[in-house]
Amino acid sequence: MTAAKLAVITGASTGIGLELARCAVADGCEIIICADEDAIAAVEADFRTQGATVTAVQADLGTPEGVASLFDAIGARQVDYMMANAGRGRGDAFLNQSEAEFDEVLRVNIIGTTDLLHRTVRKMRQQGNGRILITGSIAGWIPGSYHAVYNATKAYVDLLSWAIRNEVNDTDISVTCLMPGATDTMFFDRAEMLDTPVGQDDTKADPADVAREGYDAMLDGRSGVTTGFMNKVQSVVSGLIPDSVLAAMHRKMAKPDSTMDDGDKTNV
Amino acid sequence: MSDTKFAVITGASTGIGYELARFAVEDGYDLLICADEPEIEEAADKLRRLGGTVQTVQLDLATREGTDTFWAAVGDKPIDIFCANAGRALGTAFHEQDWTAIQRLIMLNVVQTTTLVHRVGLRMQARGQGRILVTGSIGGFVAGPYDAVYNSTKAYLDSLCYAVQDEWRDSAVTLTCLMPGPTDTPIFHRPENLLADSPIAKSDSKNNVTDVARAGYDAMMAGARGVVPGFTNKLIAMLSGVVPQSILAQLHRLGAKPE
Repeated sequence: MTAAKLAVITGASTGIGLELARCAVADGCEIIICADEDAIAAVEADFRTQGATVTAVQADLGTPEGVASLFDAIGARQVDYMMANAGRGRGDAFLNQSEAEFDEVLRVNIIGTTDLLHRTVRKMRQQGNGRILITGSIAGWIPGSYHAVYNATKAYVDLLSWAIRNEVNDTDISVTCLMPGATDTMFFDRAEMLDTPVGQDDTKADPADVAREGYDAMLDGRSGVTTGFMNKVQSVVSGLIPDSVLAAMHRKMAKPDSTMDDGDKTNV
Repeated sequence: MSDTKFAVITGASTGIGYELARFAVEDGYDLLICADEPEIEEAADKLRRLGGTVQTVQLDLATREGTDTFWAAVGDKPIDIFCANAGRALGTAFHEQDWTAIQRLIMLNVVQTTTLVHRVGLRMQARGQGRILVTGSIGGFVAGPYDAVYNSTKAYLDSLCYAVQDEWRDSAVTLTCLMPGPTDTPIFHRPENLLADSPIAKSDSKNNVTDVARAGYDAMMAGARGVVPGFTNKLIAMLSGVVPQSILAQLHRLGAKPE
């Protein structure tokens, strides 16, 4: 009997990360799941009652200690699948955010993700193989008026994914970028964006569908996957439309209602 | 004199930052310039010979302490121009890069720039005027094998600029993104980076630093959203919207992979 594959999923307490963990369990993987909140223990217990082999690590991946503790839990074991999914958003105008608020987004989305990927790529190069799925976003292709730092972090993540993929193209490591559009997760609540058109939109994608597409794309070793039809349209046109126009489009989705002028409302 | 205009420029010891400082002196601005190397004093001497009133700070903006010390040096004077130009590259394959060096790159290019644009932005918005120029890069449009983190930091800056300038569209405060292509500056030959052996570092077809800085300075003064200096660079910026990142990445590999 071959040993079960080991899948590591970050940001797995809710949303897309939780669904990715479900995909891995359904696929027969042993999983290590990580999140910065207590809920990860309940998720661990839940998977265990279903018969899965699961280890939970509660850690803030926006800190070097947090990333180190996840890799301590992995130890010397082979990582077959790494799903770098943990991320945070923060709505409102750039200048209305405190430094502490945008720092958290930068720590988790950029520094933590880069640290995790750096360790993972080194480990997989030693193993000789492995599959990486990175949760970027179509937001990375669209300057994010009223979500400026978040979208910029996703521009960072999306581009990093393609760069690393190119660097490992002579190995058995694959890097896949999952680029969801607005997905129905805790994200908008946590980003304090429930008062925005995109926060209130009830046509957001189901995280289970998004995760399934991402997981399958990772297994296929594809470069990237944009989920949802409208998101595919957006990602294609984002290359054709000037950034200034994209930013203005983003304003209509992400600007809080409380500060929205009539011109914006009529165009939502 | 109370009506003197005040320009703050980071990364001004050499390269694009020095040229921006020179244009500001020629335009009559008092300067505060900053870099992490002693060459900042030589730069200041040259600028003073051009008639400028120049204050220098030598410190490392890749640390939070450095950023705070710099901000203290800026003081509470009204800032007319802020050029957020300080930035570095790293080079070589991602897994061969040292984590500490990667972290410093992110702290300098991303965290420090965001923090200072935020602080300066708040002050300029309170005053109702001011101009900010951020040195992004066309690297931000192209996945960057063999300088992966650098290109990603520039994608971050390019995206941030276009978003924030949209938020400020009804304000007199302007934010301009300078997106140079490969430019003939010391960025390729810093001791800590590993780009010196790459074809792009050795290429003699890089853009002239004075031309690039002039394009950025003029765009800032005009309140333009962004400027990509040079025809080939404009072409790359345009193509990056329609050519898949996998192909752009392969092109970048050809230029950046050490020989």
